Amino acid sequence: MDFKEKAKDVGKHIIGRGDEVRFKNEVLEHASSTGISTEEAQKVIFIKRMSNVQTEIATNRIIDSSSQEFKEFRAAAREIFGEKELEQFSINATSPHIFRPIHTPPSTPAEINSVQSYYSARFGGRAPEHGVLRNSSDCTKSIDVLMGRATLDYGTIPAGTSLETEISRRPELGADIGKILDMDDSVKRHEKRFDKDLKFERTMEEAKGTWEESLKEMFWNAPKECFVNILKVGFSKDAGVGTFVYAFFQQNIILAKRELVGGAKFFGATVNVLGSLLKNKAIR
Amino acid sequence: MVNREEILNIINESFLSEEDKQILRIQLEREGVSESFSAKMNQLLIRALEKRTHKYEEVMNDFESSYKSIEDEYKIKRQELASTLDKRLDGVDPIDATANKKIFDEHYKNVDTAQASYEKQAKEMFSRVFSSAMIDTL
Repeated sequence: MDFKEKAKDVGKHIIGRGDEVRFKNEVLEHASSTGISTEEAQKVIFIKRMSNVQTEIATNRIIDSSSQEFKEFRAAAREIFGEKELEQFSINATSPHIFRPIHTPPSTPAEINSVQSYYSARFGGRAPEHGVLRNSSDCTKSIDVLMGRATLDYGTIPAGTSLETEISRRPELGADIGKILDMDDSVKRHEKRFDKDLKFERTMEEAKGTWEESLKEMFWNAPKECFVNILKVGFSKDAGVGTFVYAFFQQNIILAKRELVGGAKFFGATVNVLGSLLKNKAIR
Repeated sequence: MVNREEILNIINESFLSEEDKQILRIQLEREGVSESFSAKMNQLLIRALEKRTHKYEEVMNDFESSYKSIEDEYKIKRQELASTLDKRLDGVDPIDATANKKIFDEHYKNVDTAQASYEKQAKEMFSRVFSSAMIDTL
């Protein structure tokens, strides 16, 4: 490998495309260890990458958004075909003249449940609506079927013919890759969106808590200050507004019972004020 | 011994109504920190505290029930959207990425709208409850 090529690889690592470099190195290693050409090794490793994704699907019934196997597959495709060509594959995947129809049976309840379990495990017991689960499952199944077809197709490419050459001759092979990447984008989109929805819910819950706290402060800050002022000057002891002091404590206890968190927090704040007054001997 | 000035400050800075403050100021001026003055102050403070507690309960109940109704409305909307999504997906081939994308673009746009409405309603409700509580606690 010349210096320029090495520098390019280092650059790819830096911008987070180390998977592509890893693919390239694996191809070179395979070619040198088996004595086959780089082009043939590329086919072997690319097919291996697809098989790895299929194994993951067979185990999990969904492609994890952080799936290393799929990242490796995507990187391999990028390294072989380049971004521009992959975009063309996606366009071809929408063409009924190029893309060959496939039949994927609808997801079964068990398959949809597997996707739900995946979400539950990842998002603290939460999962998106049925349609999203179903579509994620359908997409994953389609990826599996398409990868199976691609593996067979690529395995029959004559020796000495590169993947690029074969695909330029048979664009339907590239369309399958385009469709696989699109389907994976859909699965990832759902997961990203669900994460956003949960963040929205958390924000609303936090806002509600803050609003409740504001209302409590608005109602109880003034009585609390009055209570503290009375204790500070020793009025309760000398002249006796003890009943108010007692009533205020009672009030705090009622609040603590009514709103376990907020009330108790408020009660705690009052006790803290009292504690600091005693410490500073402000209460005579 | 507590002096009259300190008590006057407590009265002035207290959460009592202006009317109650005036009653206490007059009595303090007339008889100093007497037993009957202390009893009166106690009585007025406790009455104000009870009144405030009652109002607080009312405001919090209003806040909680209003929030719950907004939240329920949002949940129902989400259920409706989920059901519409399911129906729309029934008629589409899972492999048809373009058609599926269109359905999900629309679905997520509707979810965004529902969330924006939920947020707006909750903010408006809090603003209403807060303003009304502010008037009552001033």
